[in-house]
Amino acid sequence: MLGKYIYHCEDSLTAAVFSHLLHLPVEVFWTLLRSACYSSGLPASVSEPETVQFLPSWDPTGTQNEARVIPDLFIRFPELDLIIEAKRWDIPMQDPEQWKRELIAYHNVYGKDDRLVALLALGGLHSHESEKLDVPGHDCKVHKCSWNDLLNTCQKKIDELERPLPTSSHVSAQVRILKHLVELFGWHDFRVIHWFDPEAFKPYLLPNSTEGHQSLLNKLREQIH
Amino acid sequence: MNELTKNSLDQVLLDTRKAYRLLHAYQRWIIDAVTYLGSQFDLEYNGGATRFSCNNIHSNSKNASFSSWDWLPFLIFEFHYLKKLECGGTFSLSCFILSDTGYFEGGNEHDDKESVSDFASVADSSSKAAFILRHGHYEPEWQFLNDKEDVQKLLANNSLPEALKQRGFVAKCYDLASFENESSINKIRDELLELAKENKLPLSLKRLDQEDTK
Repeated sequence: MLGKYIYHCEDSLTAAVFSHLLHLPVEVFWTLLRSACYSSGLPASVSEPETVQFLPSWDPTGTQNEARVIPDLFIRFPELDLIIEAKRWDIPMQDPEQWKRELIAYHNVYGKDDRLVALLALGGLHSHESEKLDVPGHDCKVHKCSWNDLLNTCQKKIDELERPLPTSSHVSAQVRILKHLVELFGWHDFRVIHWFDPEAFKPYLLPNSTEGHQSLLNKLREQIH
Repeated sequence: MNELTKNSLDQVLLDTRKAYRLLHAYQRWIIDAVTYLGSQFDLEYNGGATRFSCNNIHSNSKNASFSSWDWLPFLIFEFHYLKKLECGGTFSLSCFILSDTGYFEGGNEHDDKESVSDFASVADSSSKAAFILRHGHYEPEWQFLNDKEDVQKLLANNSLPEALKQRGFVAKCYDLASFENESSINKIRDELLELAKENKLPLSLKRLDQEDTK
């Protein structure tokens, strides 16, 4: 399992999660991401991504940064440009000033394209409500999602796909990708909830009565004393 | 050892290995369910303790009279959640997992925890979770858990001993089957919130309800 061999940090978490999510059909990927968000402001659907850039390096002109501005992930869909700023844990770590710098730098690079842009703050949230970024001339909404909610949403999707049993190799592949993704969350110290699963217990079920076993053990114990 | 005993013992050991793996799966499920439930409230996990036996199997004590139950701490286990109140004092929620109620539901004339044959049969016993909400921190009053009649009343009708009731303690019990899935656990969460509200106890959700903001 890959997770055992990678160094675990914010970048490895983002890369692990999104490289797996992006293996899924875009409608599945988008539904998972959108439904894990606290607000429903992202478009209901998007088409195939045209660009996926992990850690793009953008022109910092107009920001306090001197060399570059680097969001965690940039995805261009035909309908939307999405900037993703991720933090390592679900504890307050996000910085609205960093979001503003990323929006300004985005416009330095892509402003001439005049497209709808949104920012997704993933993990590290101080609040759950969507926010409008206060950058004059640049319209952008910040949507929010926690890692734990994304993890739970992926687990629910696995349950949904597995009941009834997957009927096609495409569905099986999605289950495999999502299970691998959930495992990677675990390697990054997120708690993966194990709901009750009868199959997990089946190999270990005991005979209806263990009284015979108890009697034998009592007898052996008496012999020791 | 004759061949018959050896074969029987081999079967006992095989079933014991199965039992440990069964317990692993069982405990993992319950721990995750309690963790999920506890994480919903505005409380911090404050540790846990076994409540049927002794906690000190890891100590350097030379006392060799440990009960076998001491090595099975999850038989009755308390998960304790706590918050400090702005007005001073604390609020606690304890989730007691009663993996087997057989001791309590056996005859009241027997009170020897070592005499498993006097326990109610496994079919006549049950697996329960008991939630106790109150102002305060860890409680020394959990001795009532050694009293079969008190525990029977708790399991049967959520009733606590008079001394605890007078101090505003309230309780609610569930079959562990109620921990089956997310929606059944959310139902417990909602009922505990309702119980707290009815009794003017300061329990609330940790975060905004997603339905309000989605």
